[in-house]
Amino acid sequence: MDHPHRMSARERLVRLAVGVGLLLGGYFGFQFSAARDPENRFAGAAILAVLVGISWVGQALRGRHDGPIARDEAPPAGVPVGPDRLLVAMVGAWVLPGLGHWLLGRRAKALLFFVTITATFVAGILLAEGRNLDYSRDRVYFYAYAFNLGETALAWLLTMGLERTREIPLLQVGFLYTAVASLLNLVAIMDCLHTSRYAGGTLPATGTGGGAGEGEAGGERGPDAGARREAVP
Amino acid sequence: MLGLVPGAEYLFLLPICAAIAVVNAASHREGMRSILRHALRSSFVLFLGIVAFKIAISLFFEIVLPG
Repeated sequence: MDHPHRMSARERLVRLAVGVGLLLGGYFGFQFSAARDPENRFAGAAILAVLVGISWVGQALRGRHDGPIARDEAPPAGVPVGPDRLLVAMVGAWVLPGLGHWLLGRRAKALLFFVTITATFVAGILLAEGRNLDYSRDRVYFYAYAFNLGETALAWLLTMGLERTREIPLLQVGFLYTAVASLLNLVAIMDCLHTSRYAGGTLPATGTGGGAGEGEAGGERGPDAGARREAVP
Repeated sequence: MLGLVPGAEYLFLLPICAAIAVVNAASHREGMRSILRHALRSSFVLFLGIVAFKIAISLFFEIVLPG
């Protein structure tokens, strides 16, 4: 795909060389600052050089100027989704990672979100030996866990009898994994919102009355709806 | 042996970088092959970036705080 921000090979090479040069400059700046700069005037410049170097090396490896959040490929064209269906999908995505995409007909992507986020979440609980879900002690982490409601509630119910009576070596790593997995579910929820206008799958009737918007009706009746659903990853 | 490699103590970050990369790629790409290819590359870039950043920060505090 020809991306508007794509670099030429020469520009990538220059960026990579300059980035590596900045990283080396930062490293030697630290060394110089440690040896001959008692007031550490060069340390700030060295940090700046390292950060810009990382950014430039990353851009050269990616081959593009833009940030990593930009959407590169539009989702497959589908039928817009009514507000009730979108609400059900987003609540589903909040309760279980990938459920929102599943309800919108994006089955493969739903499985990818579910496997990735759930595996990270469960890995965090295993690393912390199930002791990282204590609301009274680790309340701040629950602000992150709240974005993964169903799995957090289930894990909390399963581990509520466990107490932290000894040192757990990987407790902080477990916190990190579980919290990051929950925050990643926020990305999945937002992606569900973003792709919903393109989704062409079917959703069971929600019973909220007047729910079948024109998009939903079109999605059900469209002559190529089945083929489109199969084509959607 | 692993301890001799700078940044090896941050290897526990690699799986989480992979998870972040997969979710990020899935949220702005289409097609499983495209997603996984992009995630594989960006997970290593993210990991190396975090390790370089942590090393830079620790070097900074080793230099600035004692002074």
